[in-house]
Amino acid sequence: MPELGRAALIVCLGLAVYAVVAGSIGARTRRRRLSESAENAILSSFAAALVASIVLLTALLRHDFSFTYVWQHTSRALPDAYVVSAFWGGQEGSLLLWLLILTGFSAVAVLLARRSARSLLDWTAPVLAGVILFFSFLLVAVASPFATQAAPSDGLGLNPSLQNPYMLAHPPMLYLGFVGLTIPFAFAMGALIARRADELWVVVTRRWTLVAWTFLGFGQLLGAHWAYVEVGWGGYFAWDPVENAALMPWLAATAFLHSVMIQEKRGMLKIWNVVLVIGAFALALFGTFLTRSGILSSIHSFTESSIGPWFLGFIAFVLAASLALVVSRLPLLRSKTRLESPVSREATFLYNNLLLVAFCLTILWGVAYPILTEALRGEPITVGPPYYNFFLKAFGLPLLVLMGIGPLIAWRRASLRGLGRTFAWPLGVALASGITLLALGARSSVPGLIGYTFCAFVLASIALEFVRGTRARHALSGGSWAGALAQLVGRNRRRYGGYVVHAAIVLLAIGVIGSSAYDTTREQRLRAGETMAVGGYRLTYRTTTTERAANALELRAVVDVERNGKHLGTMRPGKNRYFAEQQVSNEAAIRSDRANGEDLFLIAEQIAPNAVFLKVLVKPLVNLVWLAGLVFLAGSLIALWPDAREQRRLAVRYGRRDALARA
Amino acid sequence: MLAIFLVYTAIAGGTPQLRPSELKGRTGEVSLVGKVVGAVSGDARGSGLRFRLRDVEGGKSIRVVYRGSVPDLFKSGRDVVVKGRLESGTFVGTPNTLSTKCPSKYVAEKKAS
Amino acid sequence: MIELVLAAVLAAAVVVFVAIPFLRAQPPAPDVEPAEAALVAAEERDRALAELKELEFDHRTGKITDEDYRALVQPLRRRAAQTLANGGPLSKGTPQARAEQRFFERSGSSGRRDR
Repeated sequence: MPELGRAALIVCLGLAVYAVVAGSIGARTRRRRLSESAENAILSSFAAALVASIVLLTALLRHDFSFTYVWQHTSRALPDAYVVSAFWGGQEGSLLLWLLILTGFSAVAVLLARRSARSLLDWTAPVLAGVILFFSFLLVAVASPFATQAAPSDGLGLNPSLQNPYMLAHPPMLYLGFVGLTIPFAFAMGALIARRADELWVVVTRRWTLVAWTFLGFGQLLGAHWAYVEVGWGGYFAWDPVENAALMPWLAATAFLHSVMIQEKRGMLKIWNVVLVIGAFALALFGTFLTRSGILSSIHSFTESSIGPWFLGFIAFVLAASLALVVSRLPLLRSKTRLESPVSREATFLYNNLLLVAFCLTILWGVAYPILTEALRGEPITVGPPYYNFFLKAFGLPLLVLMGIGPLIAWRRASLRGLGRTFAWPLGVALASGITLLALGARSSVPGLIGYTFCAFVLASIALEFVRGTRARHALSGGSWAGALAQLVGRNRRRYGGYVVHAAIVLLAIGVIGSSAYDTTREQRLRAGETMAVGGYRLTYRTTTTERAANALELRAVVDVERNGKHLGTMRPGKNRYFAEQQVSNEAAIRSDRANGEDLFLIAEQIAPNAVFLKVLVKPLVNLVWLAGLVFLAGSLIALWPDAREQRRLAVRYGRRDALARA
Repeated sequence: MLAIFLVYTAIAGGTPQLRPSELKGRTGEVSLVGKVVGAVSGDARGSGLRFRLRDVEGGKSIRVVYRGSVPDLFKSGRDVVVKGRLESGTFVGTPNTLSTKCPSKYVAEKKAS
Repeated sequence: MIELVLAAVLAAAVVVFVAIPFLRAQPPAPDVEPAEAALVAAEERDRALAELKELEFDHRTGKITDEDYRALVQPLRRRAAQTLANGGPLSKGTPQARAEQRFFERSGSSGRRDR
């Protein structure tokens, strides 16, 4: 069977080469049949990648340890769901997943574009094929998942902390996000190569960008949640290079989503947008590289990893080639419109972009710093959370405020009098909240207090938008208020979906501020019957239980929780000792308070038959972080929902006759 | 923009990451990367966890004493990172800075606060 | 053995699919896409009309005061008229075009009705 897998990958590589060559010649000489043939090659490459993936998946599920990859990442005792997740558990498999998603998305993009953006596809297809070529090449020549060996009786197994549902969803979701950013990139490059001055590429890739961005965002929240409940150190984000790897493209994509709106409304920022989409794609490649090649332990392990140099080379090539292309097309991209006023919605979006990009570069600098210093000085210097947290506050707080200002400000030019009127309400709410919070004791963290006040401001301005819009709609068409709201959102899906997403970000901000600026931590060794007091709770350790599960020994410290004299329940933090893997995992106990969103987080650092060393964290409002994820999804869905009227309008503009006939 | 970062990192500074073999004569706080060898004794929440650390590639090991959170994956033979400083021949770890590296999996297990 | 057969089948299918465009009797009729300049002009026109619409919306929802509205609407309308001249009329007859036409005519007399 490995032969079939290898053959399929070679076929995929061949198709990619053909598509690049034929597609380029076809586009250059305007020979339709060549272009179509190249597009067909892309469609077929998906079939080939699918075959290779099925081969690997089958080998995994059949525990075929003659595949080195299967042996390295699974074992007979591993439940099937996690055997499947081992597909992307190792370097070769995750590259195959990238290829599968890439060819899949490319196929869909080709099919859709054939109907609505035929001429744009001419040069877009070879670009897509070029990326497919890179990944197929890696899989064929550098890191094949189909290496074989004499089959041992059992495999090495999967790290126990990866054996949970979050790890089934988190990596594929991130990959859907990373790969998704390839499509806007390819269309942008396609439009530039073809010397097009219109915006069809933006229109065509709008949904792709939004979908990829949503997957990246939600995927990261899933990862954070996994870290919180599984790894259980009491936090959810540690500015680990692997975490940063996904954050950077997401920030770039966020900036792009906003600046593209300016291009759409005012025809400005064309050059900025193209550079951003190139940056987002390059960062997605870089992110994949960071999570897979181990470069960050040190430059030494970088050269041990076979794919490292190739990835870096490809990223360098992509950047050089695409930026050269942009430079050569500068006259085409220059727009005649200028920014009319520093106080306008365009300006707000611009400031937002600058902040997002600045923060993204901050993270990039922090990630690259050890590599640079090692290359220059011989020893790597690492930067830690204090660096990142400083800039998170420096850039994040202004970004929060801008989220509140942007929607309320007019395009082109906003008069100060008009501003005063629109902002009166939200400012009032913010001030009131600030004072209330001060009275409640939020003074312990000044950035926290400022952050909360800004959040109140933004929430007020979003609420105001909904209220005003519904009132106007209601005045226009009568009916019920609920109906007016539904109509309002239905006719302006992107705008109001966007507002919901902003609300989600505010919830996220509140949760992050609460759980990091206002949290409490205590550590204490307790013997049977002893009590410790933390943040209003009283914890009493009773005893330690030992239970034998199928694959592990489960040690738990039984702890009673009380607050204000009331018994709240019993928590059981502890550890699992896994027999096969010879590893210990931490099993933290978390109690979420429904009423105030607070978490009581217990870690049994040391556990003995009659004593336990407890680390206790009280994290206020942390559950808002997870709630934010759901609101985020909802907002994205609203923004993504197809709008028939808009489709028709675009069809007219771009000459799609068949759509008109159906309309 | 670059200037701001350069200034920040130069002043606030990151921590140099060294291997045990490079530690000799260094004062100040550093991050030590290496492999745990030999027996592990003591209590990280008591008088101190004691172990020896050497370069991942091999070589002489040095004494380390550490107090604070210990990651689950910590054991003899693992690669770890710990911050601290060299004090009369023993590397004294800064509390809650010990983390393990898990080579073939995605995330380095952390117990940072 | 079966592997090789499957691999051969895959390779063959793929080659056939890729060759299909060449096997057709005559090349497919090219669609008529509006020429580049016309496309850009059409985009400009749509952008100007959309801006007018949004100004109207912002005014109705109270984000823009009456004075600001009066100040902003004239130049926008002029621009829209200009782009309609360059970009050509919206395709006649589509319900979309009729609605847009109506809106454009109506926006001359708009005021805030809920005040």
